[in-house]
Amino acid sequence: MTRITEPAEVVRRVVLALEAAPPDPATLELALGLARRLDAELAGTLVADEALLRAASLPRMTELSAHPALERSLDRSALSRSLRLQAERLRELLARRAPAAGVRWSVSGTQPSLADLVTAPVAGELLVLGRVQRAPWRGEPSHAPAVLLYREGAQRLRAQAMIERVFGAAAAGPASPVWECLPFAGSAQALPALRRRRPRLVMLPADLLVQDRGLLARLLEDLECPVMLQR
Amino acid sequence: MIDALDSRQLYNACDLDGLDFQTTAELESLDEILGQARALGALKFGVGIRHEGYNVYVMGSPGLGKHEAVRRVLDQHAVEAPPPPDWCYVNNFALPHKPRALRLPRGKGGELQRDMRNLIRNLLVRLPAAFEGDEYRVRAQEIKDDFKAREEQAMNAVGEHARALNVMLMRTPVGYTIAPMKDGEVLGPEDFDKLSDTEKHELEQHSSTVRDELRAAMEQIASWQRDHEQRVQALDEDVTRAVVDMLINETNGRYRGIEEIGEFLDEVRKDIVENSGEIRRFAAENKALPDASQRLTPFNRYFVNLLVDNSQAQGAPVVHEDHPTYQNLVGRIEHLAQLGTLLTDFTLIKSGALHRANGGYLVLDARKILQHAYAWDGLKRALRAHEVRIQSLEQMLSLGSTISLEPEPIALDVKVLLVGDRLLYYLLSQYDPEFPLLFKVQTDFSEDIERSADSSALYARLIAAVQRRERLAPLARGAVARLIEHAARRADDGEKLSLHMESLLDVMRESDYWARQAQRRTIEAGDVDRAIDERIHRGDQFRERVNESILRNIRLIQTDGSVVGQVNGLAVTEIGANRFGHPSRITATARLGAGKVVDIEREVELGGAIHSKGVMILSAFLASRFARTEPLSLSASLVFEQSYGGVEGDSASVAELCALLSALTGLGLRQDLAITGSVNQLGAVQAIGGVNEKIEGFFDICAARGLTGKQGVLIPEANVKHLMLRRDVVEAVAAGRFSVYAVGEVDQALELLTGVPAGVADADGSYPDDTVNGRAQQRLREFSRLRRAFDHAEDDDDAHH
Repeated sequence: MTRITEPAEVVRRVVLALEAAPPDPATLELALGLARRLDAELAGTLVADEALLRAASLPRMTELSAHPALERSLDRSALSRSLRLQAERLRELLARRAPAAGVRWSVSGTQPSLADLVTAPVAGELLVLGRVQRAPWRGEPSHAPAVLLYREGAQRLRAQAMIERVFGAAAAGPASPVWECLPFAGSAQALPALRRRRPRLVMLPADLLVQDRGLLARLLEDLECPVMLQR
Repeated sequence: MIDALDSRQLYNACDLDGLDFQTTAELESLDEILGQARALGALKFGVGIRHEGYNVYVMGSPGLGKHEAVRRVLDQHAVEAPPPPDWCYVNNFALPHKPRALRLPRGKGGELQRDMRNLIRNLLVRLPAAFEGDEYRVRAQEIKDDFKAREEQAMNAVGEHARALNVMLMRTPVGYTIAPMKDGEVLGPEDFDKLSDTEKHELEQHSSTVRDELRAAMEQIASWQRDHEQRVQALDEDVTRAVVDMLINETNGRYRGIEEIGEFLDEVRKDIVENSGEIRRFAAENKALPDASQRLTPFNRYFVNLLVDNSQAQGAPVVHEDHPTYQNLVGRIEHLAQLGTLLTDFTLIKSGALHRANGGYLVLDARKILQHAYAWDGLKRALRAHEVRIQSLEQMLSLGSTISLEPEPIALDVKVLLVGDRLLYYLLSQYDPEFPLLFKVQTDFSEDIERSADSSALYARLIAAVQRRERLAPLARGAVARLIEHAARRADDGEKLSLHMESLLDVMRESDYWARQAQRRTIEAGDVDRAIDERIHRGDQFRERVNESILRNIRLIQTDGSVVGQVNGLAVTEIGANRFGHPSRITATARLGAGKVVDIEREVELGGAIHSKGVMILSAFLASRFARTEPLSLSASLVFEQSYGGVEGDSASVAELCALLSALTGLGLRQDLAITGSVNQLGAVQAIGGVNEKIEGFFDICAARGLTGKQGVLIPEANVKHLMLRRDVVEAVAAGRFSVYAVGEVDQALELLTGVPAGVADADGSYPDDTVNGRAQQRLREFSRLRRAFDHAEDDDDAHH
């Protein structure tokens, strides 16, 4: 999530927020690229699901793994252990990839929830999220344009300024996407439109998530692409 | 007593009147090969006949022009024969360690090789493009969306049922869990504890129900994943096949009617479809075909190894393999070292000379092929089996057990011409039972030809041809005559001309050099003389040392006076390219004994078998002449004085016999004469070799000490025709300062050496007393009497005791 208070705001940190799952490779590459181009620090963080933690505290809870369908017990300590393991793996991954990309990096403690992370008022940050598919139905990586969702014109202009700065002429390269601006009129309209487009990246202002709390989860689940948040 | 030879008998000079030209510039070159009608006929027969086993052995000493003759005959035949096909090796997709051989029309091998590289090059571009195209993406996405929709539907159904049952389906780090819910929120432990047992039980029931549904859904999803994989794979194959079919059909169109290529391309097509994923991955990483420096690439299996390229061939191939090792003959499989292991594939198969000569002719040096381990066996195997099988020596000898290539053998149709010397031919014929079956044609090159006016004229034209070919200065008539005379000397026979082209060429080149040194534009006789003399001089140090040792009386050789039991024999020494004669003192002793002639050289194992045979023959002669009615009571010994090396040959047996008779009779032998010749049991003097060198050798010693006019050499009569003596010797003879005598019987030699008549036996077998034979007979009778007296005295002593 980036918070631009002025048109020429400096982005000091790119936050790579991962839920309790291995990072999506495309999301990781995007975050590393952004941090390198913006000369910003790449901060990795894990987002815990509070509801899941509550559920894990209940007695006789079990977890069914996807491949194969094996069942095992689930408790809070096991879940916490799993989260710590995920955090350690994230640390190792960044330690291996970030210096090679010329990027400063850090890994912070687990965040309580995605909603809190998204709505927290933090300046100079760009938030990047992405989710690995559970059933990786094979398909070719998208070369479609990236999509900018916006509700108001000012949001679009501010976002375009950021896009220009990050993906503009100076930083342009073969991997830089072409951007399409899509006005947002609600999830019911936006999600099908986005599914048809299969964008390689979605950028949207955090305001939209405040008003539609389920939107982020559906974007992450349905589109199989990284999501960038900007305020 | 016989007369000395006339000086004109000592050198068969070339008649200049028979050479009707001034210089070789006027002469027409001789294009044919001189004096080898038998050999050329055999060669043409051997090259032309097309039955099994009619390979050719071309024999003769080095320098006769065998290789040139072979080249000419083959060039003539080869151009009339059809050019052979191309041979290729390609991958055997079913058994990769057994590459397949393809026999293709001439020129098609190279084309196919290029076409396959282009095919793969195009494949690396078009295949990824097909998978990046919209059509594939859309179809792949449709498949994905279909399965994704099914998955969503299944999971949504579970999720919705879960919500209806007040439980929530939640994602965990590794899968899903089902948690109790209230008012849309997951219950925490405190809230859960507040529920009644009935509510708890109900939630557990609901959780269990949803869990079962979830398990069933996940198993269904797993099954759909397999279906998805298969559908995507089928899609990939369809897309790949569309691209490959287009490329293969385009390539195949250029080889209609060539079944082998059609079969190969079908296999390539199938393999590409099966391995399209690997190809696309490579294309994504590399974007281009590996360059030629990378020998082992993932695409080698589609390439063509052009083993033999006959696209440029004008007729049958003629291959001269100068280094006939086993691998150079039958081919080899190369390996590349990578990360400590040795890797290979069919593209690293290399052709051998047999492959390149297939359909044509292969020329090999016999000595060289026999020197290389297993090369001869390899050649014979290929000829017997009519195929070339590339097999490493480790495989052939069962020394290695690692997996290696076993290329399909290639049918062989080749004519082998083995060029070598006569000794090798006879040894192979004697000791190799396969040799006569595989090399039925013997091509025997002559060492020399009859010398006549006609042959001399042809020889002159041959010299003209060589002069032009070597770009030498033209030779004057006198120089040509001198060369012809030198050819006779080279043949060791005044009535023959040597056919050693190499030595003729050397003398011509060196004559040209001396002419140019003297800034002459034509080569004169004097230049030829100079070339010959300088060549001798360059290698003459050893002879000079030998002569020096004689002249300084280190090696004792007397050239005047008369000595009993001592004679000047003559020997020839060959060192490298140099050959010279020199006198050698032979002495004999004779005493009372049991009839044995001891050859001291034989006793100390310095005498060879032929020398020993010569001594035995002269012993038999003595016995035959003097021991018909009574035993030979003689013991004698013969030795080559101051000789510390091996002695071989029987050319000194006349000298030995004369020395022995001198020792027996007490008659001295003239030391101003030397003698050479072989004697038989009947006393006939037989021809020997090196007669010119031997005469010159004794002459040089005598000349160095000062010719007395009485010195000379006795030679066998049969050797007169071989005389081609040096000019200084001929001139000395003409001036009466030296003599050469030709003897046909040992008695003639005895008369010359002793100055006493030899004597002729009467009807009783007795010789006149005042003859050599008479005195020998008397002496032997005395020995016989002495021996009988001695024996009786011994008997008396024994009886007395």
